[in-house]
Amino acid sequence: MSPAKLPEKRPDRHYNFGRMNMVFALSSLGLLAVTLWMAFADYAQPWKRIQSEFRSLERQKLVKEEEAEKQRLNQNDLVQLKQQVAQAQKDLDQHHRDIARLESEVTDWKSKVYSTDSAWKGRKATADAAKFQYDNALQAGDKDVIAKRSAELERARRDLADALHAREKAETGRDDAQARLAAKEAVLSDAEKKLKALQSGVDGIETRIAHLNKGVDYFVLNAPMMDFIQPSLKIEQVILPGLYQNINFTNIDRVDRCMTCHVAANRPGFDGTDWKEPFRSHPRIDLFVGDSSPHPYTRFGCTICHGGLDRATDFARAGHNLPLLASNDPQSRKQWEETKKEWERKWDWKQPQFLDYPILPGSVAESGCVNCHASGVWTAKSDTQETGRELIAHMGCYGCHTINLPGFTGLRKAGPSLLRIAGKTNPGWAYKWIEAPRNFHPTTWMPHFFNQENNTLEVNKKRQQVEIVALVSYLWAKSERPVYTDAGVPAGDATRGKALFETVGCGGCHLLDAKAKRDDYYPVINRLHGPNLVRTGSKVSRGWVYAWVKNPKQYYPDTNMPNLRLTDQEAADLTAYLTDTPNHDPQYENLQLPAVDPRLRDELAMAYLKELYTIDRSRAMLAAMPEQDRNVFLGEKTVAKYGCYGCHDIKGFENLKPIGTELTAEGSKPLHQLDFGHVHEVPHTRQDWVYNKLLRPRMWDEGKEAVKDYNELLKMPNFGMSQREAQSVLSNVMGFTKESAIATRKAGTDPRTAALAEGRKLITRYNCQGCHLIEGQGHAIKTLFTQVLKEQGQADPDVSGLLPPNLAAEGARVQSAWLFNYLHDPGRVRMRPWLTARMPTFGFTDDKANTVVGYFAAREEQRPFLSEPDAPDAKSLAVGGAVFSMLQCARCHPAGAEASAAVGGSKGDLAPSLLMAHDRLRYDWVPSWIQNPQHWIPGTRMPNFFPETKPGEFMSPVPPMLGNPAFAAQKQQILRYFSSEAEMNAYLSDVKTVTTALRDHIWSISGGGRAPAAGARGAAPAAVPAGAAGGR
Amino acid sequence: MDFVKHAINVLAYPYWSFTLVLIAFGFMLWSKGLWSKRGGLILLAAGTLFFLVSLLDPNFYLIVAKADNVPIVMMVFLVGFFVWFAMHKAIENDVRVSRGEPLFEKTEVEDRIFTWPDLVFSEFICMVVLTVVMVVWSIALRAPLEEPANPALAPNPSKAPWYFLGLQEMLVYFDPWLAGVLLPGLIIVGLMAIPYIDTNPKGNGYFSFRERRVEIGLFLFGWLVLWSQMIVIGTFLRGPNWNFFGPYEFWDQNKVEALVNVDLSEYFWIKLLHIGLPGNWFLRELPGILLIAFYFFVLPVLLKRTRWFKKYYDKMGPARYYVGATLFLFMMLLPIKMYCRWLFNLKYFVHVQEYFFNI
Repeated sequence: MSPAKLPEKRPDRHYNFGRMNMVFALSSLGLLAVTLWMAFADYAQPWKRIQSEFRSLERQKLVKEEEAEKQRLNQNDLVQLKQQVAQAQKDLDQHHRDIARLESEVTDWKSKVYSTDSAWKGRKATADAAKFQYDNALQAGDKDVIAKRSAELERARRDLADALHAREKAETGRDDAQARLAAKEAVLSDAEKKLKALQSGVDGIETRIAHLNKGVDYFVLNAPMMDFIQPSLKIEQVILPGLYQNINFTNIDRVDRCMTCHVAANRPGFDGTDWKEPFRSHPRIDLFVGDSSPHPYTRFGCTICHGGLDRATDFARAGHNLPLLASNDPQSRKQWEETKKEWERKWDWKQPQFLDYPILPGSVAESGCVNCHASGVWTAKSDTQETGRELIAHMGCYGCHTINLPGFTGLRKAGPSLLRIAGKTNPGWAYKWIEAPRNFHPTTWMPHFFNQENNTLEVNKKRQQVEIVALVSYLWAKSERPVYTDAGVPAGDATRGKALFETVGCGGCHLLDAKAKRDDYYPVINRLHGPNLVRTGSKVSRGWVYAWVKNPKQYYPDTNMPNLRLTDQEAADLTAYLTDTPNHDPQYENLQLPAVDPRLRDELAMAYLKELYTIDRSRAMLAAMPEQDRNVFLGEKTVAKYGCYGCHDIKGFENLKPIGTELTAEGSKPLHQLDFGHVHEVPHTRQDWVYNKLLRPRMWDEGKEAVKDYNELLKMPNFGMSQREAQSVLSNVMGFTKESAIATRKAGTDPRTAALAEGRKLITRYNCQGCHLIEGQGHAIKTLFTQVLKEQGQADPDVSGLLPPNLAAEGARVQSAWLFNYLHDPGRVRMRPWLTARMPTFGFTDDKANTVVGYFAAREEQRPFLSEPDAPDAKSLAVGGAVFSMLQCARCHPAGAEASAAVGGSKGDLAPSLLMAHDRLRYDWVPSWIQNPQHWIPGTRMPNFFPETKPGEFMSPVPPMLGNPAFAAQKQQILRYFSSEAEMNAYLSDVKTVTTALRDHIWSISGGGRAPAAGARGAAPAAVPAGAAGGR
Repeated sequence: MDFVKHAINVLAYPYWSFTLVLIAFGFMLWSKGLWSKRGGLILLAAGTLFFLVSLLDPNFYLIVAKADNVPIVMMVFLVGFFVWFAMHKAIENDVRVSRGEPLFEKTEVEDRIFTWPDLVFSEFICMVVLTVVMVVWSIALRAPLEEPANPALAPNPSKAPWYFLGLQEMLVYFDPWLAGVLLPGLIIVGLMAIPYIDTNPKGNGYFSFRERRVEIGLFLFGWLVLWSQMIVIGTFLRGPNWNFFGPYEFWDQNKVEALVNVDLSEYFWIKLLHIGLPGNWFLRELPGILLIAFYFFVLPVLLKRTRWFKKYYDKMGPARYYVGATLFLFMMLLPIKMYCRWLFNLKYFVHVQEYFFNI
């Protein structure tokens, strides 16, 4: 067939090929177009757009910085320097001929060095060969040959020596010429160097800007098909051996690619309002991601804390999650919906469905801490998660939900014992309390079990009443009945009681405020530790309060409430303050248990009986029970139903397992195991489930109350959590995951960590931070002191002098034995008599006291005990004594406990008596403390006598002071120990010596007893029996 | 609207929908108007309208718009189109034949045409266009890839690939060895056997319905009612725990359905004879075994005596007849079992749990 045109439709063709060709052409073009589209779709990854955008933004930022830098330079002597350079250049030009001559001389010498060096190398080779020949000849033994070879070697060696000499001469000449040249040019280069240093800032920025320019090379390198060579837009990843991603039956190392989009995460300076995600620096770059932080990106990556799919480079696939949605807050919903819309529009976002650990919202990001620091390490810098740990301890979550992690095991039940409740209050009050605890104590940790959103049916409300009556009946039936009468209580004065309450330290743990809200105290919740004492008079009798404040343990041996060693009068005053009429509420007085529908009571009791027995037998058993026994029986079952014994000691429930779901791995719980019921408006995610469960515990029963059996309804009580509180708790719960990091990457499983963890549990339990500052947190009582002073009319009161001590360096500061004894009996010595707050007696067992001592020692990484020091020499003692008086140490550290006020220091400046130092302080710590108090206790009132001249270097103030005539006596006193004034000054300039001398002096006045007799130079230390030193 | 939705939800339940589909299927074979162009357009319009209006329902949308399910939506329309197309042409030919006119295939092409270029070129264009469609589809609708599967955490519902969902649906009614092994095997064997059983040369190379009413009817019953319909049910109407959900129902994980199925042996020994189940499994299952034996071994012989089957027996000869009848009975076992389940809560005809042998 010829290639001639085909006719439109040939008779032997079925189709019209003119049209077919057209269709073919069009479809081929279509194929070309979609192929290009495919290539583009494959190329245009969202992260490339992000990187490119960041590049432009960063460039803009640098341009701004450059301008600022230039501005700064103009103010400096840039112009002057430039002139200097120009002048130097001019000078140099004048010596042009000299320099040219020198330069050619250097060149000459260089060529000489080269030729002599090659000559030397040649001779060396000849000499080596001659040596070899001579050696061979010696072996062969032919005398003629030996002589010949020997002569040759001799000659070669001579030549070699000559050559070496010539080379050395040339080298010397060259070095000399170069030195002369350099000297001539030095003038210029000095000026240039200065200029360069000055301009280096700008130059650096300019180089960086040049890197970020989008020139031709940028587009070529990143063009499709070219971008395999050296693209500047590329996936940033870090491989993290040992941090596993579990992909079912095997673990693979994580490969985090988050920084492909979060480009600036590990670079400081991208924060403030100008920078939005994904372009921001990590908000805590000092702690995370930053190269010098404890968790550098290269070692920990991102997903091990935040969750998400490590390898993903697409917003939706990485597992980003929307902010938490609080179903009871329209504002939260609005924000949630806005974010959702934005994400869907910008990123084509969908709820991650299949990831075991999607990225958690920012508000619970701290749950990542718990992953590795499984409550064993106090992450003191993480407010949310750490407060959450305290909230869990206070609310007693662990009472119903086993949390098998170090921070949440071995804790006491969160609520008070009910074993002697009948001696404390009355059934009518108890009924009303259980019905709605927060109505009585607005800040209580006791949750609401009743009248919740799934108890709205009339019959269920009645059933609740039956249950509460039954609960109270059971408690009273099983309670011991200690008797507290008002008769023995001395008359007290409420005003004095109020003053006492506000000063002695009650306020570290208690409020007395009917309007207080828990959320107002977040995150320093220490003052909510004990009950809010409002309406106390309506709850308990005067007799009970009096006995209780005198000695809490007589009522409840395991109570957290310490003994403040009140006198009878103080106790009576306090009792009056707490129970007098103003602190009453008539609504809570003269209450009786309400009458309940016996039919409903029997019905509930039957339901329990039927679980154990046949229907007939249950009926018979119920019929045989007297009226009151039925209440008690139902009460026992109701205690078990609601798990009251999880927080309270209740007779008959000593060894029962908690009723709730175990939470040890709640953060890994598969979503389908969480029942959202009929609720669709809450996003179906793990965190939103838990969050809303915390805010509205019965929420998932929505629309189910009528369907479910009464006992099937959700039972989790309502703690009235604020969103912040719920987020704090959630931050812990979401961190309770199955292990995801290997042991070496996990924080602490060593004895020190264990000691810290145990100590912290006690610190939380006994609320040490209510009064003290420990690990940077606490001093909660400060708010009370401030408030009291404000009420007294001070506008902006400074209470720092009233606060109990900061225990920042306690482990390094005090001796273990002293601390141990002090904890056992703080009353035997008042260290700071000017403080109104008292260190209470907690009645620690030896175990607990040891735990606290061990905690402080571990905190400062101290060994528990140190041996007694050697006796100091007389020179040191004398110097110490003199400096002690020169620095007026006694002004704040009164030498005698009672002398405090007399010395004239104001209250806030007072410090513990140094007479206790020897028994109390650590020998090795004192000099270091004197040298730099702020290092040990930031913000301490102890003055800095030894100024820090450079980091790590301190200056002694003593030698200049001795020049002052006022200190002539002291100078005379110590000069005796030195041969010359210069020697004395050298001795006194050494900070270490001076501080040691001060310590030695303090030791001697506080009963160290090892001081040699005064003035006896070089006398041997006196032997003192060890026991005599402490006097204990 | 809610009432309509509710009605559709209720009617979608298999015992209703299957019956309705059977009726519709009968109508389909009887009707002529359905296969006219107008009938086709009305069908298409009705189907599309139903689909589009239903998309307004969030629950319907959620399931239908899942990237996995898009091909099955297409399948529904494609199956409909091709069935209509074939029937349309067949009926057209039937009319032509009855009028003594030539078949329409003859009107299209006189005799024969060349492979090149007529066939190859048009096929090539089809290939190009199909590639374009596939590329656009794959860009516009990204593959719904998920994270690495977790064997400890099977998704609920766990679904087979869409083309196997008919088989998975059979698992509701049959033991796995039947629904998963024997019946699929027989489907393949049966399809391969068709040319050897059905030796009727009529209809070769042209569309025709009247000349092959029974054969086409049987095939379409298997293909549309038993296979395609089951895929649609399995894809769109089976939710978590393989529970049934109407097209507008929310897939509630916690849906509970009463499962009170009873074996034939219990019907026989307890309900009928009022004595307990015999201890010996063979005795216990004897009624079921006899029933099945009757179904497969006696029924073909009995059927042979009926006028209708006799015609085929005579035409095909004993070997073809028995093989064909057995395959037919196997096919019918599925709807029979389904109706027994719906009407009598029948679990198994034969339930030998001692040897994991259940029918």
